[in-house]
Formats: sequence, structure tokens, C-alpha cells
Amino acid sequence: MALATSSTQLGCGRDIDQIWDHLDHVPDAHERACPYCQAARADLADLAQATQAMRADDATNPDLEPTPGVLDRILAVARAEVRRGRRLPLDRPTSEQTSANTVSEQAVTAVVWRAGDRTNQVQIRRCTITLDTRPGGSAAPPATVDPDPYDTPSAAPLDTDPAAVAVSLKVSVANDVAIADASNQLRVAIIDAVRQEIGIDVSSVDIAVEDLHDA
Amino acid sequence: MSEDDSHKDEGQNSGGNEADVEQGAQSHSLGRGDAWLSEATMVGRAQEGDVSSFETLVRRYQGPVFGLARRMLNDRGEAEDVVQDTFVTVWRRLPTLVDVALFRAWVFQIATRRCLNVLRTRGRQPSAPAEAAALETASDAAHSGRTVEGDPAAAAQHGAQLVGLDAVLATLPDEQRVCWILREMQEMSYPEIAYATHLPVSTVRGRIARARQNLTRGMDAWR
Repeated sequence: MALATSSTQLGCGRDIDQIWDHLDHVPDAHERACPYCQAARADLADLAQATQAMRADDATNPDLEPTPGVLDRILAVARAEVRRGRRLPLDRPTSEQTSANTVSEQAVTAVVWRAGDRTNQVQIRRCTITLDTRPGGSAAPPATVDPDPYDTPSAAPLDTDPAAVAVSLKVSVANDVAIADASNQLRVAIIDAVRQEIGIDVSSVDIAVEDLHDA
Repeated sequence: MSEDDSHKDEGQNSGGNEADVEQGAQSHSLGRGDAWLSEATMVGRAQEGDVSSFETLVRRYQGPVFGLARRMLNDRGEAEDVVQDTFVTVWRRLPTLVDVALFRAWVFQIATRRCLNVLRTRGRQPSAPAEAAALETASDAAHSGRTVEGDPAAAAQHGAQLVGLDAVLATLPDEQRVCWILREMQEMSYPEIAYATHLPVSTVRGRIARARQNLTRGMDAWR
């Protein structure tokens, strides 16, 4: 049947590629006169039509989705290998003592994302959480603990100071809002959400706007 | 699930111009469907470990990847394996993807390599079974006349065209077929295809032209 040839040039020297690109236009003087071009145009027009039909068929054909088990298996692997990041202490340990209550970086990040989503103005793309070790408590580096499989943040005990984290964000802002206002609202929303849902303080929220998106 | 580590450069751009590729991918950044978040945002979150953003991305691209794999392999089971391997690899290597705007082309880069690997390990089997399978699916389409309503004559002609194209497509050399599918079924730009196939743009252009030439000749013969 179809044999690959070394060239896609027609007998007249024009290339298939040129004819294809020109299909939607009226034929030029050469194309009207040239038998090679006329034949190629007719063939390629048929192909374009068949291609369009195949694309339409693919778009509506339910057989072209994999069975649901495929998605389930992919997500099972993703969940099993989820990247939770470092553990962060929930409270500022006193002097030598390290904190026993920790939360994963991923859990804090998720709270930050959702707080951003609720503003409907800002999409947080990158979120970096760092433990704030400045005065007000000499927070030790987070203890390495076994990952908590359920990843439930436990509320910090009331008799200790909550730990503090610095949040650094790269965001996209809706193109119909004032960036300064949106940033301030986001900052407040994040500080509140992290305090309420995790039980730690956010000492700073650094926001870099890297993109705009359609509102 | 076979993790193929023989290609360490996955995710690296080797062909084409990044700016062009991004432009090609732009129209997909504000995706259709359930999420108001832009694709770049979801990719960023998935990179940071958010499974629900990853799920949205898989739901968006599993169909297109499956479509590519099915037409490359002509085997549903193998095509589903490719989908699964592709997205598991995507999840594991997401942190290495530097430019989130390239996500779609990057997914197809991984999927394309998988398909070609499957074909390579199969060896050059005679194309007869694949051809028969393609003819069978195509002739189903011809008989149902699914996409043309009303006019039976038009439906028959339309069906016959589809049958011809499907059958001839299955006979194309793999490297032509993959470029043609990415261009015509996935509607990717030449630079995006170059990125996905690790080929120079000029090679992609040449392969697609040859694919079209072979398809028209094949369809002529088939009629």
C-alpha cells in the first residue's frame, strides 16, 4: 500500500506542505494551471475532510476514554506517594525541649491554598512555608518524626506559645482587581485560616505576583 | 508498572523554541471544565503534592493520552497501561517540570515515549492484526454513521472516508503516525510536537507532510 518516499515534492517542485497550508485559500495561478497541484489539492481536500470527521468522531466517541479503573489506580499511587514535606512543630518549645506536636508542611500549604481560593481573586501557585525562629521563642529545628498517616493537625496545647511560620507565595491575580487590595485581603485570610485550622501563627506573608488571569 | 529510567532527559527541552511552544500551549491554560483555577495553578499545586489538583489534570488529559495510545498501539489494554504509566511518571517527575506552561506537551512527551517503547519491544510485528482491528473499528463507525445525522448517503460516504483513513493510518510508519496524531487529533503546534517527540521542528514538519502524502495515496488505493 502506501510507501514512504524520500520527498514530499510534487512533479512541479511545490511541496505537499505548501499545498496543505494553502487549501483554505483559492488556488493561485500556478495551482490552477498545474496538473500536479490540482490533483494534490483534490486529494488533500479529501484528507482534510476525513481528518475533520475523525476528530469529531474521537471527540464524541465514549470508547475513547479509558475505563474508570485506570484513574483509580493512578490516584492510588499518587496518594501512596504523596509528598508531605517536612514536619513543622505546632508550638514553640521551651529552652531545650523539642515540640512533640507537629504538622506536615503539606497540611499547612493546603490550608493556605484554600484560603486563597476563597478570595476568588488570587490563585496561589507556589507556597513555601518556613519556620520562623526569630525572637519570641527559640524554636528548634523540627524534630524528625514518623509521618502521621492521617495527617491530622492536633491543636497546640494552650499553655505553650504557638509556633510561627513565614509564608512565601507566588500568585496569579485576576486581571480586574487592584493588586494591593487583593494582597492585603489574602494576607489577612491566610493568617486567620492558619491560626484557626492549624493553630500556629503566621508571622509574615510574602506575596510575589507572577501572572494575571482572566477574571 | 515499568518505570523506564533509560531516558534521564525527560522534561528537558531538546527541540523547538520554548517561547513558541508556550504560545502553542497558551490556549489550553484556561482549561475547560470543573475548576476555575488556571491550568498553571493546578500544575503548580500538583507539583507541591496536591492530589486533588493532580486528579483534575489527569481527568482532563487521560482521554487525549488514551486516544494517542490507542491509535498508536491498536490495543485497548496496552493503551490503558500507557495511560497509567504515563500519569504515574507525571506524578513522580512533576517537581522536575520547570515551566508549567509546557505541561500538556510534557505529558505527551512521556506518553509518546511510552507508546514507541511498547512498539519497539513488540518488535516489528506484521501489521496485519493492527490493520484488521482498525478496519473493524472503522467499519463499525461506517455502519453507525454516528457523526452525520439524517442523510444516509452522506453518512455512508462520511463513514467510508473514516474507514479509509483509520485503516491507512494504521499502516503508516510509527514515527509519521505519532506526529500526525499529535498534529491532527490533539491539534498541537509544530513546536509543541517537537518538544513532545524530541525532534527538530523541521523534522516534525517533514514527517507530517510525508504522513499526509502517504494517507492520501493510501486512501486512493483503498477507494
